[in-house]
Amino acid sequence: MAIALIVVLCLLIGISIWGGDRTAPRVREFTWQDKQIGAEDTAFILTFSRPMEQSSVVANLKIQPLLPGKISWAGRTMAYTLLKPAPYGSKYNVNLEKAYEKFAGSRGQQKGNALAPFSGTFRVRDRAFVYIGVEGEEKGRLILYNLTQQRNGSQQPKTILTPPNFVVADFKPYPQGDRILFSAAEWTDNKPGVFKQQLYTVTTGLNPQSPGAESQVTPTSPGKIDLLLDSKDYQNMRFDLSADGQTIVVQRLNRQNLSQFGLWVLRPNTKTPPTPLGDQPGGDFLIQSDGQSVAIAQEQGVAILPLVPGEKPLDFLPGFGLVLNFARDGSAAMVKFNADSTRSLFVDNNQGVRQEVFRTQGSILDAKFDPTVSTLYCLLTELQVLKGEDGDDEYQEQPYLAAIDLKTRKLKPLLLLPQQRDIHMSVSPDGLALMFDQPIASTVPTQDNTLTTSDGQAIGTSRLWFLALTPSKLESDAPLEPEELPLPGFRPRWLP
Amino acid sequence: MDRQLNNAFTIFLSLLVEAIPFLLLGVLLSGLLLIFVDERRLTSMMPRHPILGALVGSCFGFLFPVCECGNVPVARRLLIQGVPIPVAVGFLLAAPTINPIVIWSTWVAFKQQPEIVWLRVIFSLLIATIIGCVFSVQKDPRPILQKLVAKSIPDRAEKNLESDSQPMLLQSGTFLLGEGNSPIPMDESLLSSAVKKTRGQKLRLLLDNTIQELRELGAVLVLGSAVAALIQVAAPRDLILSLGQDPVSSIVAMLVLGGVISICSTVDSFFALSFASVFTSGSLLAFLVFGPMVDIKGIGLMLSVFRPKAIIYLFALAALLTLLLTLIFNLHFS
Repeated sequence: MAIALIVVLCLLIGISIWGGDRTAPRVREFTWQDKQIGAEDTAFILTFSRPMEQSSVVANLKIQPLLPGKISWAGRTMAYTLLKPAPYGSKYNVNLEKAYEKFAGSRGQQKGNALAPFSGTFRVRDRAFVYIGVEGEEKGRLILYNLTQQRNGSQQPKTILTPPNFVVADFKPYPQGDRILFSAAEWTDNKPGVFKQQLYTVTTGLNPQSPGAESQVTPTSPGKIDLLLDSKDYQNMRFDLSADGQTIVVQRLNRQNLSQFGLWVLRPNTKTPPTPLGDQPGGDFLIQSDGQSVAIAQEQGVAILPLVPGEKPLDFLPGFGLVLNFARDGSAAMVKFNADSTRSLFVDNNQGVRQEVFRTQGSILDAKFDPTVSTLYCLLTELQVLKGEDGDDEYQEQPYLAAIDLKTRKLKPLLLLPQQRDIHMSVSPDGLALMFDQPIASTVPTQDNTLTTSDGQAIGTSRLWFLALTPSKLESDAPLEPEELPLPGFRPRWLP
Repeated sequence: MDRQLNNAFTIFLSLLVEAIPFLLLGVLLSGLLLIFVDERRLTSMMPRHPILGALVGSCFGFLFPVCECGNVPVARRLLIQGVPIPVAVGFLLAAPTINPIVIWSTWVAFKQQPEIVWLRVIFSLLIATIIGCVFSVQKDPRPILQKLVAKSIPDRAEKNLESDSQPMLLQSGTFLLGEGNSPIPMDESLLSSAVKKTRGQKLRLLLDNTIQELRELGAVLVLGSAVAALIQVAAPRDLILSLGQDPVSSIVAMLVLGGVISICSTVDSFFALSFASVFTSGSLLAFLVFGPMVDIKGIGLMLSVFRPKAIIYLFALAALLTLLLTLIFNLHFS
């Protein structure tokens, strides 16, 4: 029996080998197939069914339009890491033909079997931003503007997200742009000294379709609002949303006991109630990019607090005023007040090296990293001394926008801005555009239905400006020309 | 020369260090089977049908999670306790793969290619069942077993068959009368059930059995490891791998490697993973299926159970079946 089976098996093996190889290597998985990527998606992976001749894959891989990146291999998987984020609103085709497997085929040919032709597509999220409207029925409402839809002409680019009875104070988009966290109060409560802002989320109607996540079959309609945090016992002041969208930190004040003022942590996905972080008063704060701690401005410096109630501070940075921005890689931009009444802009990189990149006698209002963390865009002011009519010196601060090259630490002024203190700027997630606002003070006295800036001034109207940051424009010496958008609004923020 | 001896010694020690704990586990399991499992109940529970028996034996790995170093003592004990040969052969070949630890470690290593995980299980089951069926043709297992093992096998199976067809009075032997309506034969089974051992005695017996089997099989394992180490030095991996890497020769290379390298089945998937970038999926599968069934260091252990002729058939069938299945996978599906 055993010998008979051995003979049969030998025969079957012979027939199999004689029949030859009927398969061709193929791409088993393309991680971005039919997905919509964002700036946080830095590399796609192609997994092959067999070991491939790597040089044939590298030579024949075509991505259209051009998207520079570098290739690395681990066994049968190839990773293509983008050198910089793909421009938003674009669509890409990935094609691979004429690549062949590593080993010679069974029929004695010199090259291995050719790869079954592969073709894949992926898109980059729409280029869109959100702002607070200032005029007419848009006043105080959150508005989504989709530049990609405007360019395609496919759909109405403007969507008003919040209802007319809400006046929105501040907002932060969730990492995939499908929802926005915002604080708002009813118009009837929009009076000086009344703080009834509650925290809500609103859907944008955008379908993330991110790699690695389950796609929504039917995207949610825009404008669906959920209440996250009421203001019954506590006033909600500032808030921040972590980069992963899982943690919210809110600064709250007890209505009954005004000495109870501090940070609270909210994790809406875990269904745990909001918890106070302990006795750590302070001013402006920002959640670190890893979502594990928060940097808060205190009297003598900046404290780094873990987002676990009752834990001791992780670090204290004496002399620093506030943290302006955390990059995705963990780098931080911070302001330090010097003894000689100058201010310094410091950058902590993710290796823990702290460098002073700029020092001024004026103010440092804001700073934002570009996505490759090679440039820091700053809102600065220059102190100007003017001779007054009575011959005395008068001091004036001239705001301007500048870019600091973080390698050379060279500052390049980009644009002089009109005289104003309250400016909000936002760098697009692909680093190709910048927006800022220009609120214009109201001439009529403040009323119940007036919007105010963060320093309490009444806003009459406000303009939104768009500044393209293409490398060629940044490198040339010609002055940059901002473009005014026909959208009256303030606090513009790009969707991630 | 010195360096080669050094290498051989290192490989020898690493094989031993890796295998001894599992051999100990197998020997302990064998002892537990001897003492705590009633062999009559065990054999009566075993299916008589060859295919079913081989399949059940193959799935025993879930009960006794041992790798290829620990399965020999357990299989030997099963045979001595009168378990049908397809069950024992199925267990011997499949238990090192079809057990929770090995399936889990394969899953961890080959998450990216899940088909490797389930094909490893299916191919191992299939091959063990087929070979189990082939060996079931041998109704009396004793001619294919070593003399010592063959002697220890009770005649019960045959006697049970006889007693079904023959009236009690026509059977020879010593009988007890007056207990119930029929005479009771006075044989080993009556003895084992009549003499109840205390817990202390049982533990003593377990210890004695463990020491005896460990001395006996441990010595064989040391010899087997030494041979495996010498072969690995004389025929280094590079030489085996240079046999070829196309869909056919890669399988042959990995079959040889699986036999020579003698790596424990609990960790072999990680070893195979290191070849995933340069070898075909079918050849990795061949390594993962054939390696646990057959390896050089285990030949000595196998020789303590089976006669050489049976081992040659066992190995040849396992190698050819693995080659055929993985070849079909490589040429038609991968």
